[in-house]
Amino acid sequence: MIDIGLIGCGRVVHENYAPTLVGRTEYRVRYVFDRDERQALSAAAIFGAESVSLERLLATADAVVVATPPSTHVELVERCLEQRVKIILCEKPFAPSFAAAADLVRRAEERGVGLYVGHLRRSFPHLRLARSLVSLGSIGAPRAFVASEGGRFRWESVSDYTGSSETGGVLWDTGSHTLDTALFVAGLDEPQVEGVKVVCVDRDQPEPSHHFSGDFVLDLGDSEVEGRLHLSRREALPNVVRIVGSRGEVSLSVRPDDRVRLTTDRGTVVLSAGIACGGILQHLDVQFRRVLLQQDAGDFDAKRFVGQTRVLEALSNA
Amino acid sequence: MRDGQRVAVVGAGGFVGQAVLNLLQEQGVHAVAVVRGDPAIADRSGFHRVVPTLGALAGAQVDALLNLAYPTRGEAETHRSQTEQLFADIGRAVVPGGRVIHASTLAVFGLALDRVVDVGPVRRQRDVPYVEAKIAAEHAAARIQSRGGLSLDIVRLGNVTGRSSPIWAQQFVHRLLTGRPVGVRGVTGVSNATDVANAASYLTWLLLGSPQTGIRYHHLAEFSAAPWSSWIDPMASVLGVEPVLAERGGPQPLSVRDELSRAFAGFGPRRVYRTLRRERVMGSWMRSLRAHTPYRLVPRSASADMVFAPPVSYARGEQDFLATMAAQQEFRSVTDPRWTPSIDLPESVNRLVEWLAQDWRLPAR
Repeated sequence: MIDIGLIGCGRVVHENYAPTLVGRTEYRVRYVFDRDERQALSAAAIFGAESVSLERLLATADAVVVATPPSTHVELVERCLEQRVKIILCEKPFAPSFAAAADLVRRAEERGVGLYVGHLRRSFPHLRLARSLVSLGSIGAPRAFVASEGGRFRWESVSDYTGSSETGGVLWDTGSHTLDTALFVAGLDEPQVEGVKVVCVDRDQPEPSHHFSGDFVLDLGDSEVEGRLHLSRREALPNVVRIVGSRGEVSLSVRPDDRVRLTTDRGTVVLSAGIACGGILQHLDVQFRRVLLQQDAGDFDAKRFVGQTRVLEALSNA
Repeated sequence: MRDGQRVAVVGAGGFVGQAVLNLLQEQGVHAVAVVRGDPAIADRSGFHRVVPTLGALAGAQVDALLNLAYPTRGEAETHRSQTEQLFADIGRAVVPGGRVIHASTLAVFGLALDRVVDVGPVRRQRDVPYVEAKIAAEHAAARIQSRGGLSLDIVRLGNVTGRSSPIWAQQFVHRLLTGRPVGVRGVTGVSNATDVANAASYLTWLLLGSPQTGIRYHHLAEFSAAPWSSWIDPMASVLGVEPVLAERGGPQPLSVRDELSRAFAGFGPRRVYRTLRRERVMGSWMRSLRAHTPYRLVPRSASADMVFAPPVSYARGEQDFLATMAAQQEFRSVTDPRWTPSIDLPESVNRLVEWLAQDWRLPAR
């Protein structure tokens, strides 16, 4: 039985983690910590866990899940690394800067610690299908992508980080998901993005923004890929990702699905992953299993999110 | 609108509410916007006063109030009581003799518009929770009107489409892109649509008009006769896809029997509930089921002769959608003749197409 230490007991824990981490035979939430004692006690009651100090949690847990606001991730992951926790799963967005993300990944590798980032969309059947299509060369080498995601924002976090923290706006909060969808499908999460040239940015206010659009160019060393990200907490957007390669394109929804459209010079066709997609909680469950049981956990390896962080940082600072 | 008139928009964070706030701002009218969530999201310019509940007005009454809110949270059987509470708050928030505009929906005549459409009061019907709540809201509005001597306009909106429509525009993109049906082959349904620009224009026009006496009913669907293909086909063209149509006979008239037998075959109370909450057997019957026999009724069915029904062509949500796409009854506009729509059908289509194209076009360096 793997004893999980849960840092941060906010809304995502109460609404999403509770149904996916309770009643499992291979792992259990044994310790919880939150600066807000009421939140910690509430979570402890849900999981049948102990509300403990951060020090005790880090000293005794086999695996730690960091589910705090993004601005605290670096410090807490550092604490986990110092204590040599075996498995660390940090909620997205991973880190607020490329330098911090790269440093955490380096230190985790030096210590032999498994450091992962929670991007549950990587379990969606249509994302995996689309990634396979791209990696098989169906559309040739990716050269551009557009990604949009917008709708009325209804998430009310306990700490209000989504309205008050620089990394809590739509760019980091939703955009980390949207951008990751594009990068994962295009296979751009493995060759590291070496540089980002921001072409133009439009946002409603300094971060945390609630409406954002940006055009940019990714430098992959031997090639470039153009990208556009459009995000909104006010306005419904098409919510699609379109990746164009030298010989065709794939397009898909940002929401859970099993279908992908493939378009080449031979025509356009909708392909299905052949399995029911399920809901968000089902994919969160899969993510926890893959990471905690170390079964096909590579998709969530933190080193595959360093490039994403470089892009988000560049857009955030533009 | 007279000087110093105080106006409020309840449910201002939604699709229509945001359009109304923008129109009010264009006209220099500061409103109290009642909206859940972050004020900065609801009102980007800080022009209006955003409050989380009507109670936050703390006794400062308004002269005119537009209600766009309806219950979306909590169990479905609580929506009616939430509606009653909402209108009790509205009744307290408006000055005696003030004006209330209540935005309702064509769904009070059934989700598939399969009841007789009449521009007047609609009697209570047993239906899905959403429809029941919408009918209950009209009745609750009428009650506060009679008690408070208010001027009440009940505006039944058609299918509110247009740029950024979360229900229609997003769904059309998703369906077109993933090859899911957007209509029924051989059936040209009427859209019964209103563009959000026109819906906001009419509601704002009423809100800022002079109070009258009694209750007036309005139906707004200026593009009611236009088929959905008016919007869908140009969107398909942007995406470079062919719209998929369901074969005729796939979507059946709404019927609960097959799905219930499936749900009961699994004995799961949650599954039964999920099935029933989309049915017209909801309402009081469902409330009674949950209140008195939440976990006893279902196990009793274990010995019943339940068999799986033959598979249906489409899931329930799919059938509901296609029934709307194939609607035959037109929901004609009945509006104040002094008002004219701000945009016509070609402009509505253009706005939707541009909304899609801006996020489909590749970056231009």
